[in-house]
Amino acid sequence: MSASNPDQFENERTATSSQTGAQLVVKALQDQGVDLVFGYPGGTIMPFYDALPGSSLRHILVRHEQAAAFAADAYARATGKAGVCIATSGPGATNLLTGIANAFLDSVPMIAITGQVPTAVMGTDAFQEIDIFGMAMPVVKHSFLIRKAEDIPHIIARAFQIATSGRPGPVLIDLPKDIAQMQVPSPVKAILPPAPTRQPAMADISDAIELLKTAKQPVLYIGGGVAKSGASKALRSMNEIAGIPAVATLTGLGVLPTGSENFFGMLGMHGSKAANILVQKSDVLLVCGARFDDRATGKLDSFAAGARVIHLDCDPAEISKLRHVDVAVPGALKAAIEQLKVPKLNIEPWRKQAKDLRRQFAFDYNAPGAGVFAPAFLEKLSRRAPNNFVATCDVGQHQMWVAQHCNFNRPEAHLTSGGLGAMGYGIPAGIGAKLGNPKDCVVTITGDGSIMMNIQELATIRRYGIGLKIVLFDNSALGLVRQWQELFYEQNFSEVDLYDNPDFASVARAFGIEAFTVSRREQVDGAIERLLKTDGPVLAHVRIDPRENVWPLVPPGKSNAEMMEP
Amino acid sequence: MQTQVLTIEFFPEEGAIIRLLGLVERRGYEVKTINLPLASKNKSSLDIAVIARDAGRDIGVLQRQISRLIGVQRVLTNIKTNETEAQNV
Ligand SMILES: Cc1ncc(C[n+]2csc(CCOP(=O)(O)OP(=O)(O)O)c2C)c(N)n1
Ligand SMILES: [Mg+2]
Repeated sequence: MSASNPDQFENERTATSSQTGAQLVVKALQDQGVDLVFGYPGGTIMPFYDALPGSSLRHILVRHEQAAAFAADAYARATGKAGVCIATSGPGATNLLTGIANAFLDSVPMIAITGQVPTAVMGTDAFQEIDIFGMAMPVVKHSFLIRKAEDIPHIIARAFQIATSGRPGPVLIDLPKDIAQMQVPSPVKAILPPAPTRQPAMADISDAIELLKTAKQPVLYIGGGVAKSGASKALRSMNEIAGIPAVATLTGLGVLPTGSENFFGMLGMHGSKAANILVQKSDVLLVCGARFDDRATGKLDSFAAGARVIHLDCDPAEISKLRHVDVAVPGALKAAIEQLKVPKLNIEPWRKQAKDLRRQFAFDYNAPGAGVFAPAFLEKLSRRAPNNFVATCDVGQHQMWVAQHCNFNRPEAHLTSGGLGAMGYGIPAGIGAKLGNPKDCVVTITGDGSIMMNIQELATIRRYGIGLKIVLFDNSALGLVRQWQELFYEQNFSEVDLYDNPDFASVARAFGIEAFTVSRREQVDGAIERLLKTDGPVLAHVRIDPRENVWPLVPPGKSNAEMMEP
Repeated sequence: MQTQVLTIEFFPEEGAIIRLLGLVERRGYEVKTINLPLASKNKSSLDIAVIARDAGRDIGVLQRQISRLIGVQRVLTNIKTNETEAQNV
């Protein structure tokens, strides 16, 4: 047995007792410290459900497998532990896929366990047989198909190690029914050698510091990887001394608190004008845990064209993938940032310019009219909410307003479907976040289109009495698509009108959830107060003007220097 | 566009070959030839000639993307001109 290859192993057994494969799965999950799983039963996963009662695992029965995956994803983002979701073969497994893809694109540690038809009939188009192992390959960090019950402890331990180490990601475990039912002597608890971590090279770090010292107009570009690697504090400390004007991607928000001196907002398509101008003008760009997503960079050729780039990332495959990097620092991000001892930079004129831009382009919350102005609602909500405020978002205009206007004092306060942009994330994510940290003030911000993608989860909220607060911005439209049709498709509005939405407050009440509707500006204070005061689940149905758009905006394919305004 | 040859040493787990080929295809390369010259219980090796489907694909990026797959031990490009050790980070 080679100690260097964790995927090559032999099982040691204690012949004292025997268990089913499914019981081993439950035990292996417990050994990994799992106490909560999200799932939905069905034929091939029944042995697992048979082993579940009486165990210490708390199972949350969702009402659609996609919600199990989204909830597990948000649980992981909120707690830092891997989230676990479980489904049966065939339709159960395919329903998980969107959530697995979501975790993959945002580098979230997740374990997805799927039932599979018995090994003897695999490959025969058996009832509910789908090759989920093959289907999921492009959207997992790794996957396992269990062929021997005695491998279960090792495979599960290894799956958790893979999901949580280095750049995190989802791992799929496909479990054929016969393996789950097989009686096997109990193997001993799997103990793996620690996952190797690539440490950053001191020489690279010195190069980065030297380049920063020459900068006249540096910008710090914060991505989602900073929080994922637990480097938020280190980055804050580093920049308290260096004083580099900072911007963040959608998933990097909160690493520097929204109102802090050195923070200039989100960059990219719906970023702040100040942030985009600063990045465009920068001469040195210090990129931490980000991957130059096109929503952040706009047209790549003209992105920060005059800047030399320093890139710190735990994943060497991200270095120079899209943008040529001048100084690469591959390796553990937290260690790299801790060692990046940048002195106070002599950049006062640049810092002043940055602050002037921020002042000049500050958002104006005084919209005309008497209707509810969603940006103002959100800004107020996040300011009045307690420190443990967490926003989980759906996808659309409302998601961009959250990113632009909510105050975040930590990255875990903003859970959003970044890379995948999956409508339907918001409510299951709220469930996962609230169950992960029950004391947090978790608010799902959703839209009238998005909520319908997982509205069945109101039943889950009701069943477990999950104290989730839901703000539903109802513009009777697929607003973000409508906005693009207005601006880029000559107002050819096609299939974006949701004029015949149900009465959402009644729908919520039918699920047993307190709900109310507001539509006028003078009702906003009362609505926020009621939301924050309610202990149990509550839904605020907020009607807004369908013509309201997200501003500013970089048109698709354009440079970040070309921001459109109303 | 130029043909480039990669030699990938990997642990022969179930799905390993399709995982490798799928990644190469998805990242914008056409697979021209494949050869599995050596396969033991613990180690396989795959020689694969690829052509980028469009300009602007960097074989070094592909090499690192393959290297980060679980079970890949190392990836050599253009027959040992540009050797990197696989890093499963
Ligand atoms: C699953 C899924 N389908 C389609 C889309 C494309 N899409 C992006 S935003 C959007 C509209 C969302 O409408 P709503 O939830 O009402 O939000 P609004 O933009 O109106 O605030 C659509 C259809 C998507 N992101 N995800
Ligand atoms: Mg809408």
